[in-house]
Amino acid sequence: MTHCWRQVLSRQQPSCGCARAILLIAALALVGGCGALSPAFVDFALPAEYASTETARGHIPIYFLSNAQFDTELLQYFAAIGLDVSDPNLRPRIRVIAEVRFSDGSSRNLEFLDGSDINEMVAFGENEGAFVSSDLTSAPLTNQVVQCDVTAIVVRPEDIEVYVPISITEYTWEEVENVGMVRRYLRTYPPRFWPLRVDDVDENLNVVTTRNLGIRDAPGPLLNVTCGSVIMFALEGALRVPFVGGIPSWDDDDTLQIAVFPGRYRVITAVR
Amino acid sequence: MSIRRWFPVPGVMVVALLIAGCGEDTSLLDPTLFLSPSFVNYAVGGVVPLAPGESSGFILVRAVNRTTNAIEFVVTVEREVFAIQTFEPDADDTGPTTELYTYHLQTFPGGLTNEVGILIDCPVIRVGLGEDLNSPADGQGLIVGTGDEGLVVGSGVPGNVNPLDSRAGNFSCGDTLVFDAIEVLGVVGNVKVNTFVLSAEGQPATFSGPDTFNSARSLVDQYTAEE
Repeated sequence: MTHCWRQVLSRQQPSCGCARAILLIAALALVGGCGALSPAFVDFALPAEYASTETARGHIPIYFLSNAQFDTELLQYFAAIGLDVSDPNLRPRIRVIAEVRFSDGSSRNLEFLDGSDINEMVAFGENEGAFVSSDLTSAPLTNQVVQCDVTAIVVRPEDIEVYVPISITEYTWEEVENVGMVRRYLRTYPPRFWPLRVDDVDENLNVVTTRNLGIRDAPGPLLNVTCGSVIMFALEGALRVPFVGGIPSWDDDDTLQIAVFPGRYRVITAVR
Repeated sequence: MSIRRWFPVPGVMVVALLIAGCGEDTSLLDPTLFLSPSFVNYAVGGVVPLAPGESSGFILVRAVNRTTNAIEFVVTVEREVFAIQTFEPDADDTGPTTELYTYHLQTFPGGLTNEVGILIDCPVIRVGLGEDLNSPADGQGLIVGTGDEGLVVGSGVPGNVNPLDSRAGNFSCGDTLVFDAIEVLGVVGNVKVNTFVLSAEGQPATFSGPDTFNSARSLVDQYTAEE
């Protein structure tokens, strides 16, 4: 190798063999950094024990917090059917899926949960749900920390779901001979997660149908996230259900109420 | 094209790297000018913190999967909370009590999806695998199997590691706790978990990049609904 460096220092064009050798060293140095030039290079080349515990690329914490509330009319209904609503921190259960894409081409979905668990509501009242899944009883998971480097974080409106803890009844109007229009039971929607939807707009961005999120209030994709930064998605709004005759329900032709169910929200995105 | 024509390019980069130095105090130039910040942090550190630090009020729990299977880490955290008399008017004791919180962290083999973490508010008493911290050799500390659209589906195996206990000095507020799963033949599920603690005291006081965890604290405080 000495003759190779002599060639370089004397500004001669090195021979192919020297060039290959120096290129190889350069490649190793670029891949391994300073560690590639040290006797510990073998450990660095097999980084399993070294990299995972004592070093890391850096982290990107991703938060999804829910500041959504229950509508006052809904809280009154909860109390009327015997659910415990004394906790001032009682909040709707929210489930969110965020897609995280990494610089190495891999991607994954992260699931977040926030809001009161269902047991807090039914402990002293009637249990409306026959089976309570872990999404409703598990501890809130409001943040997850991923490795750098992240090329995109995508939260789609339909991946934000709000749990409506009561049944919703759907009615329809039917004409009965000699009686007139009669409201008839159609179906019951059991307690479940409902995905949020963005307003329908025309080509001028005028709202045609009001739904759960305005077009400016929906989350957008975050691209090329700086290593070490923190991402926060915060949901604000109120869980509302329509009532007909004091019962959570709607008529199947009440398109306005159906479109805006289960309430109006906005997502605030912050990066620091 | 002749290899000799390309020779100066890597040569210049090697020189630049050497100028950049091998450590925080030896670089003449900021190495992140030439290399990605995450790579520099990985190699020599000093760009972004790896432990939250006591001022952030967090501990970071990292689940690292260095096997060829998808693994769900069932992480249970025991925290000290204060009972509030408002909700239990007949309670005799309004002092501190402990509560358990269980989190399911999904990891997938290979690539940057092999690790995920969670920030936990201090004070934290114990952190371990499985829902029962008093029986680490029983129950499901890990779910080992395959990843299906972001969820791990498989069979449960015990974590078989004693929980880390702050009262025993295993960790302090601000530290990073690592549960590192490696592939070992002959054990249940062919998975063995080692635990490591990265002390916040061992990392630099300042960083050239974002102050990740103190920023997380200020964001959480800003956006958490007032009680």
